[in-house]
Amino acid sequence: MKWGGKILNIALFLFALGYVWQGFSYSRTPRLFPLMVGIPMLFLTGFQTVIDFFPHLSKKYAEMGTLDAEMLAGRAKSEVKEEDPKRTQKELEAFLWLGLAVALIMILGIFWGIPLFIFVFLKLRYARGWVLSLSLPLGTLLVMYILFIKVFQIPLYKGLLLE
Amino acid sequence: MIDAALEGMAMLFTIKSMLFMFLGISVGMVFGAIPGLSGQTALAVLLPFVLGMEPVTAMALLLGAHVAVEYAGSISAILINTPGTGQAIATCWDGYPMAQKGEAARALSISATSSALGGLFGFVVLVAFIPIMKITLMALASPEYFITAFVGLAFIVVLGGGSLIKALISGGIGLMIAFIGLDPMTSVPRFTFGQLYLWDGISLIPIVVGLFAFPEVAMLMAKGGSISRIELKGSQWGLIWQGIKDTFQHWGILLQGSAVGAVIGVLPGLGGTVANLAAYGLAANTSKEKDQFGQGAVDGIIAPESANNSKEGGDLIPTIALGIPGGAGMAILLGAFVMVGLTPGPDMLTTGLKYTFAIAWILAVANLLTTAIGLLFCAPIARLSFLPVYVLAPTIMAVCLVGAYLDGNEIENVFLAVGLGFLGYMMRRTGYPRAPLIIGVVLGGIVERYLHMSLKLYGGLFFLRPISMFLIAIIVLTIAAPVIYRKRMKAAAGVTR
Repeated sequence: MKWGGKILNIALFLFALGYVWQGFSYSRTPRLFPLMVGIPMLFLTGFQTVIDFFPHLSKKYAEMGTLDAEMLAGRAKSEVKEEDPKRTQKELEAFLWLGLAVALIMILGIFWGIPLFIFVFLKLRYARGWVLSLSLPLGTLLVMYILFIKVFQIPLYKGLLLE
Repeated sequence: MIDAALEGMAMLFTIKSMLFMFLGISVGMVFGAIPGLSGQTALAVLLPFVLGMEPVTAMALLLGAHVAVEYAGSISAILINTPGTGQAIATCWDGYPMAQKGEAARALSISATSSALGGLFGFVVLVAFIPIMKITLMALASPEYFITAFVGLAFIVVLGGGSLIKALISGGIGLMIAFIGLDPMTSVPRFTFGQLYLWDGISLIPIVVGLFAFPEVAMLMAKGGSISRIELKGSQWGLIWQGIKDTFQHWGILLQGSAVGAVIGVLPGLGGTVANLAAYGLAANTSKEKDQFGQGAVDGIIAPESANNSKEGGDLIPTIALGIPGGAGMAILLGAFVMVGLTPGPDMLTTGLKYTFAIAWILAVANLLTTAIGLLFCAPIARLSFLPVYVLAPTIMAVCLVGAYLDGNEIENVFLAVGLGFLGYMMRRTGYPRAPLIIGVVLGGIVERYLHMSLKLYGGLFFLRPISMFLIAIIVLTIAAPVIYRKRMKAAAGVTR
């Protein structure tokens, strides 16, 4: 994730900028705390964005941590061991699947969308057999029916098709 | 007083009350373990059933559920890195890494044992406070609440990880999120962009689900295998026993976490999430295994879990003595008190003293019973961490999406959780700590509310009140003492060399 950090920093800086801009539109009392936090955040995110373009500065400030530097070092080592060239691609794929789940929920609702998502996920992503691919979604359907509809009577989102 | 204590105990130990307590615990376990189904929801579901019940039976049912939720929230925190309730957030940070090491049973056992011992600590605090309840509570005011919450914010630095700037940015984002919604003083909508959904602010569950669970699923899918990085070998009972022993061996952190929980519980409005985070933050500062925090430290589970449950004892003090609920759960319990004919306030310390003691006994027994059930089911629950990724990934996604929705039954929460999931993933990959963000979200509103109140009631020098000064002194000492001690040790080691 060579550019990930820089993109995130810029995004956070823009978020802080928009936040402060919007904060100034409120009267004195409501804007007090948002600006007390937003203005320092603008400087912090701006500073982080700048130093990220200069590796020696970035390294210097990354070591400014107070108590958990050793912990971070431990984590960094373990992450290096697991590094896989396609790691980022595989991880981002998970978010595409999440996107599909949300789309199915939006269209079919939670009760039908979630089991269908599990079925599609098992069949297409992991090419599992019919027994598992059908039993897990059906189990989910049953649990949701008993727990949310029968026992607790919680109104689940019905989706655009059924609403 | 002893007569009242014995009478309270006799009222609880009836077959009917014990059965209802067991029922409450069972419901609480389910609600606690499923992210999104909060403890308040459990109480709200059970509340209609207490109409016409005897007071102690009703309290056994409701308080049993309330206590069980506190423990059960740690189950999903440990297994899928998503707390079942907001009060188990910090449990994720060492519980889940322990599960990744194949020691989910040990983590669950530590959680269950510390919850029970923390709960018993809370019981002792509650009983000890009964004679001095009212005088003590009348002395506390908004400056003290503000100071306690503000110190919680200081833990952003402790939990920050390597880069202080990134920790501060992360905490700042949390605070900025906390200010979304109606301004507590003027009710002006802030950063809502005309969306009614944002008027109440952004709730915690979608944030936690997004920041912690979805990035884990992504990493799990890339890595393959199961949550546990080692294969299942033999029985889990050895690990469960190890977890029980761990808790007793780390008694210092247990007492510290329990004390933090009880103190925060006494202060209305701070809540279990603050207790959980503050206890974790303090343990990260004072623990002997500080360098293990975030990688499956035993102390990292003991501190927040003991605080969770001890908080309940503290929480009951203002609820019973003044009728001021410590949190949303206590507010529902307060309603239940009235429904079954109990009037919180001075009466509960005089004519209704037996009921106060009965409530204290319920707290103790419910904690022990919850732990016994928790330990009994540790082994089968822990086996879930050995399931293959193709079963876990869609299941975790489904549970988290449903959990995000159930928090207020709002579909917007689902979008928010996925969006924050991507933010959490980017933060994790680029070295931004995520814990400070949660601290900011939890404490932002509290700090703002109590600062405004303190300024209005006591002026700019509100922190010069004697109790505030005393609190500040204790807090400075607690945080500074370990740092000074470590510096001295390092200096001594340097001289020796």
